[in-house]
Amino acid sequence: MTTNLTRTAEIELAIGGMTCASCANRVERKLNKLDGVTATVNYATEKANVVYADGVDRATLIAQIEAAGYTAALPEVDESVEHDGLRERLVVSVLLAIPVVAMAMIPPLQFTYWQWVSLALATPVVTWGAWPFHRAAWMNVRHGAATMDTLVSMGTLAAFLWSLYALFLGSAGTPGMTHPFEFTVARSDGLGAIYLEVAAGVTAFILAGRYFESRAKRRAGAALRALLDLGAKDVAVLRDGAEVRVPIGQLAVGERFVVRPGEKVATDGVVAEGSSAVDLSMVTGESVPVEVAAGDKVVGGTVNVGGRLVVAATRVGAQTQLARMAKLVEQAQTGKAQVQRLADRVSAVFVPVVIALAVGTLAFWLGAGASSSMAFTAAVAVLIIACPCALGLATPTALLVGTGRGAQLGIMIKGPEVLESTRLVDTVVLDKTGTVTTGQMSLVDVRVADGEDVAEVLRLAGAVEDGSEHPIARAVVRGARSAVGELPPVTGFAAVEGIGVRGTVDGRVVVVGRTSLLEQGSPHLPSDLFFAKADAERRGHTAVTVGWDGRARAVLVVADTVKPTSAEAVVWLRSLGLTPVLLTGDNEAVARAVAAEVGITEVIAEVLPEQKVEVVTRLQSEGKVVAMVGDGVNDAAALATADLGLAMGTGTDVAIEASDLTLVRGDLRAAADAIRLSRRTLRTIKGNLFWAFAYNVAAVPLAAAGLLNPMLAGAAMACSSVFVVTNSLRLRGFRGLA
Amino acid sequence: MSTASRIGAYGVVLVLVAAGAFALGSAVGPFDAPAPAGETHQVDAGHVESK
Repeated sequence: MTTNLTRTAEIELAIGGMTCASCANRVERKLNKLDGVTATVNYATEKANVVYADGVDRATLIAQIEAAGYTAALPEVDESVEHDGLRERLVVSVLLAIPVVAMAMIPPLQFTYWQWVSLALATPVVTWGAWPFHRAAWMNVRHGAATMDTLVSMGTLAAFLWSLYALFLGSAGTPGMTHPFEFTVARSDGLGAIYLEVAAGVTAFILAGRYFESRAKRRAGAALRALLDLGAKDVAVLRDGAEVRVPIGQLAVGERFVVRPGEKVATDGVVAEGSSAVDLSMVTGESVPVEVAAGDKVVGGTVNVGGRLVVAATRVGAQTQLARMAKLVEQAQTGKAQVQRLADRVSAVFVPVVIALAVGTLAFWLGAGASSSMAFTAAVAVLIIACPCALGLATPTALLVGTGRGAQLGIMIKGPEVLESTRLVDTVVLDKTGTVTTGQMSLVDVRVADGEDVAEVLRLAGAVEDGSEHPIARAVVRGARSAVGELPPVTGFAAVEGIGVRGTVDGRVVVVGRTSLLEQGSPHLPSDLFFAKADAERRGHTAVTVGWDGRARAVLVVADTVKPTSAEAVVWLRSLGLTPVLLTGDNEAVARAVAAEVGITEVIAEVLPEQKVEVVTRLQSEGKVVAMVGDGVNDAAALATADLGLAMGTGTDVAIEASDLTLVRGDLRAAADAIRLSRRTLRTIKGNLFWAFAYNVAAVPLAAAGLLNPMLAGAAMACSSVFVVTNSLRLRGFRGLA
Repeated sequence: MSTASRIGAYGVVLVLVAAGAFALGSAVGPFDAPAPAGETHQVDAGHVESK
């Protein structure tokens, strides 16, 4: 592999021709066989991320992939190619298959020469329509593997080729031949029966399933685009003392730029002049804006909520914290474990068994002295009946109904393939800010000095704070308004940057803010207020002091409040057998307080955004199957890494794009419903697969005995399909707890 | 296990299955095949010739 002396490069290749997760594993193995190459292949995004050493060139990589039977190219996103003409194949196949199935199953429609019309209609379906399955099956054969494609290709080709044989060399081509509508079993040489409806019907059904599935594939790139969109587009750089607005790409390390109130910080840097509050929630998850002054570090993409700042750029482009987070999300999505489709896992065993059965049937009848024609009929019948038409519907119908029901309950399932792959989730990691808590500051307590009136304190403090846009001030104003109603007017309002506000209300000079602001007039905070303030801060809350006429009158406690439904949600999550873990960038005291309030015992606090991924990975390496619920940009990579990522709909676009499920209402109780729904959907898929196979497997002994007829084959097809669709529709009855 | 040896092993299994089935068929046969299973159906009971 690579050494320190070897330089490496990294590219992303778009892989074509993959039909299942095992294809992705195969391409990955093939690439990793090359010296100095480390590759991860994502089936969902159809991309390979390849790190390669100097000695390897791109042509070698592409050739290696093509040698495995797939195509590779530098990615140029073309949505139409993604479906491999699937929609056209589906529409044409369905239109042609309907009359074929109808004629075969309804004897009055069997006019003279109907069988030849059937052949004309079924031929394009089996050849062109089912081409993706044949191609994939051939690729699988070359690798000695069997998937659902193998089964479909084998079944449809067996039915079609047999029908050709019967039509041209048997008696099925005789004008006026009909399929009687009866389910009696009788042994025949089979040369009078055609199975074109099986070939065309199975193809159309499986194509429909594939089409729904391909539509549901996640758009991995969207999370990255949303993340990068968060950065500032241009920046006001100070050049020769003048402000020049330039595109962000032209900013160089060491240059100074201006950040006005409400603007985003253009890139990572150090404050050179000014002081302000910066909303760092994107990066740290911390809900309280952080006061910054000269010498403090600021992060690109965060929002300046206070005064004017001049910042010296320390990192630009790919080195910034935002770009590094984008990289983390990308790595998490590309490196996500590939899980084989359940249908493919079943097929991998089922196909070899069916072939063995067919060979056994042929040999048995030959051994028993039957005619070679009869023996061959029975063997082919085994292949024909073994391909369950409903196999293609088993997963997509359950996913469609499950996602539809989810949408009604406010659960948007974005990567439904995850439902199929999610084994039993046993741990749920909850981000604190915005997930368990509202993510918004609110007034939680008012402690007044002896002799002061709470309403009066709120009336005056609220009036002064009304002039400020600071989130803490907004919380005080909301709290005051809800307690005392309309607030009186203020004169002489002044904001003291980073400290507090001052103004005159009803002839009194009122100050609200840090104790230091107050202490200009009154050096001592009364002991009761001092302890109240210390107590609030110990619990991780923010305390602001209110005073007028040179005396401290009250301490207002502001905090990010726990959502009213969070505690109930935690109880539900526990009842599902999940262990909730609270994860936050906040300090331990705040985290413990919130955890205690909602009933969580396991807390992981003071975690940087990059470390959130590590926490999820560590839990996974301990053998846990992890669901992560988050809302912030800082959660995006962890959401993508988790086995099941759930984003709050009230959160950032980045988190929503990186997750598998979005809880539209931002109510944590929906997380419990989402997990129940995903479990129920998975159970439905398994049930569907069982019954899809069961009807056909039940008919295999008849086929092996040489007793299959087209009506029985059609009945097995119809029964299993109806069952699978009905079973999936039962998911509509799923009831949410929330 | 390489692809070739996997396919080879499966081939061996198929041959064994075929041999076993053939032997079983020889032991329990011969059957009157093709033979009518219903009362009125002819050899090719899966379909009916035109009038």
